[in-house]
Amino acid sequence: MKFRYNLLSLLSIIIFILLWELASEAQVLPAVLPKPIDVAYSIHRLMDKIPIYTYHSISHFIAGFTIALIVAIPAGALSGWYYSVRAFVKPIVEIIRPIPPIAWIPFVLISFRSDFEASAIIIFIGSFFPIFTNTFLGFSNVPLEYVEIAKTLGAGDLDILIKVALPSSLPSILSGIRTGVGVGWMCVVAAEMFGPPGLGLQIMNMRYLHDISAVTAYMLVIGVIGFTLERIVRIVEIKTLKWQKGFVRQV
Amino acid sequence: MFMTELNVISISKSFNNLKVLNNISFTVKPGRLLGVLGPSGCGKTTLLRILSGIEKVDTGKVLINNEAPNTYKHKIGYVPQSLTLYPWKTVEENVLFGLEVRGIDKKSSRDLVYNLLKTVGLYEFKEYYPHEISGGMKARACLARALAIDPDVLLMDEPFANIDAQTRYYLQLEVLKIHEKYRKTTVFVSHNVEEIVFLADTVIVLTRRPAAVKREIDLSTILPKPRNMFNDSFLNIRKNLVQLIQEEFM
Repeated sequence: MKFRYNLLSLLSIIIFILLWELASEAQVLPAVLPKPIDVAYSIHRLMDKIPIYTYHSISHFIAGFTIALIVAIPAGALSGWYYSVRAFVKPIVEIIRPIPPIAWIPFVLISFRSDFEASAIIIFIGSFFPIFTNTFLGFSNVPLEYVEIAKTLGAGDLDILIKVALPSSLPSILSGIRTGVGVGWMCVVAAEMFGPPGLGLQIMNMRYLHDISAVTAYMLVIGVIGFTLERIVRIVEIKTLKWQKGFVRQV
Repeated sequence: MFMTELNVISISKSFNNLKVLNNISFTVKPGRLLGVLGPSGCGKTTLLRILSGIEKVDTGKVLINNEAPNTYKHKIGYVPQSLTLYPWKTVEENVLFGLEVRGIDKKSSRDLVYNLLKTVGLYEFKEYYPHEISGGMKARACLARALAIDPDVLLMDEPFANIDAQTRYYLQLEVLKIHEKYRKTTVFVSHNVEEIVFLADTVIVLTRRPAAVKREIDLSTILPKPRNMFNDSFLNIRKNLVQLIQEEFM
């Protein structure tokens, strides 16, 4: 079964590349498409530069994402668990959430000293909300039964929070982290388009040179890295949550 | 071994304007098993939730050895109707949980837990997860978990309600066996008359909502244990109890 799935997926990618090639040859769409061959050549040509830009982008990402984890998980957990914390934190979150990370870029570029910090903050803003919201949902939806049983066994409040609420919320937290990784990585590109070095900046630079194959090449690199990051989280999810019935069905 | 006496004195409970328990009083003498029978929805679960400390009474009081229930002093073993186990813990870890939160480390409690698991017949399954075991096994695991803390009082809320009839017979025998071994003062709630007649030393029959004690019967004098489900005295008592409950539906 798995073989067939992988075969079909591979076929799909091949067909996609073929269609892309056809579309670029025929010049059907009202756009100038680069040929797959050109893109492949660009990747080859840029091979020595890609690692350094990747390094910059990943650094931005790790910095911003780590802060998001450190802030969002406790904030989400405590808001989900304690009414008073929720009343305090939620209004602020709900007001800031609708502001898209991209809209923060001018603000952040002015107010933060270095480009690196500016990028990291944009990524933080992007990844914060999914992690916060999912953690919040996890903690606010701990089944009452779990808590009641713990109380009858003599568990104190702290024990209940750490030994019952936290494990119970773990699936939600991990799901939030996975989404946060996706959104955070998208913000990397946005955050770098205006100065800080990295893959995103390169996309802009290549655009100025009208080098669409290079632009596409960098886009692919970004896509692959984003995919890989999400895969990693997914694998952690599956390994940690093997106790959930019927969980490991779709990977 | 020290056995606990449980006294329930005139407890009433309402939820919003719905009165569920109406002036209920009874005593469970040390080491005895009290069966609580009543029509569905009459408040049996609420009664048990009050005894376990999850709910508070509106009026009346509960006394354990003539003292108010105290989480530090008194230990209550509770087997919920839902047979809830923590899905992220194995059977063994679930049973250990009560000891874990009381600060007793795993090494010292291991032997105790293993013996308990052997008593309920789950030793081979100690490393299984709740989703991998059957309903009957979950009931046993919940029972072991409740017993692990060496409770003063054992409360069982229709633990076999969702279990098939055959497994239920075995589990009833287990409860009897465990009661004889550990002599825990027990309150066993059920809507299954046969089960109660088989297990209980004393029975109280509740009226329908708001529940009051309709009748209290001491079975220990009229039906010596071990009991035979098919002999005349058993069937006779069962018939009487069924009639008592049916009256509540008229």
